[in-house]
Amino acid sequence: MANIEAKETELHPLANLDRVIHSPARLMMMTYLYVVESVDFIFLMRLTGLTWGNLSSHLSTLEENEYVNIEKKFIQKKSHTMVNLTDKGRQAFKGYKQLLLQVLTDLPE
Amino acid sequence: MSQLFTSKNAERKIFQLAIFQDGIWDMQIGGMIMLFSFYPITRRLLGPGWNAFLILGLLAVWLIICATIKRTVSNPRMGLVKFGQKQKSKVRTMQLIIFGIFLLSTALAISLIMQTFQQPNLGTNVPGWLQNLAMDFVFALVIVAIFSLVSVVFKIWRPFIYGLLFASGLIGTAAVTVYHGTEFQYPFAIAGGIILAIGLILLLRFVRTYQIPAEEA
Repeated sequence: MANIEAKETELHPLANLDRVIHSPARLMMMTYLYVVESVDFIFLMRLTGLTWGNLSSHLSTLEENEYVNIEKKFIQKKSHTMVNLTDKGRQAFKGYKQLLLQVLTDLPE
Repeated sequence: MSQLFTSKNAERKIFQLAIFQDGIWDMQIGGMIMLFSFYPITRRLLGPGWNAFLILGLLAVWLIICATIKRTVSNPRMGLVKFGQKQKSKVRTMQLIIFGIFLLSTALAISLIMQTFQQPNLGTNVPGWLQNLAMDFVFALVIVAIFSLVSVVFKIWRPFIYGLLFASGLIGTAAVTVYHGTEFQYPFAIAGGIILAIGLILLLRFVRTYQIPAEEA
């Protein structure tokens, strides 16, 4: 059984795609986070166009998988959240990109 | 057609939101150009030393005002971003360009008033107006080139238009100085005023579009 699963994985490299990143919203968030050092919650919300709750939920998923680091601070009695990609998140994003490229490059026109 | 979502476009969008969306950059440039419109008047009244002090002082005040607007109006609505090394060098380039524009403008304003630079002799077949304004046209081209560079680097059209406006202001000012000897350099005031007005409109639109979020999660 395990052998069959392993063979299927070989035949379908897309099955190895990181599902944490693969969601469109999280993929967009990871792409933005990949090109900056860090952003705050509001800026990420403006960039992605996601609602407060939606963004918060996706960020939690990324944080649970240790792809992002979330740092909360209080500035003038207001909470301020900074988000940045962790090394693990950066590596995962690179891997995701490579795998997707590998699959899509070989597709016939 | 919607733009492809690539990392290059993502980076571009970050720059546009962080730097150009609120119109404050435009206001900075417009205000700086407007400062030179009354340079000859204050120079006559105060003398060169005090005048330079006044212009630099006013410039510092204007930059502080713009920075305060950025901190109190723009940042709470747009949020903050810390750029990576690659982006930081782009931002530094832009800051250098702004500083370069200021230095160039100062040098030009002084040169125009003092008539320190020698217009090159272009020969007898060249019309008089071109002979009189040849160097100013060269400076104008340099200005357009600098602003075009900002447009190309950040992929936005506004700096290019500002370059054209600034260059027109310069040529106009040179023509006014050569042919009329007017003290108030209104072409600079008009060019700077238009840019400042565009910046203000963008700021108002920004404030209306982006409300301050009620409470952070």
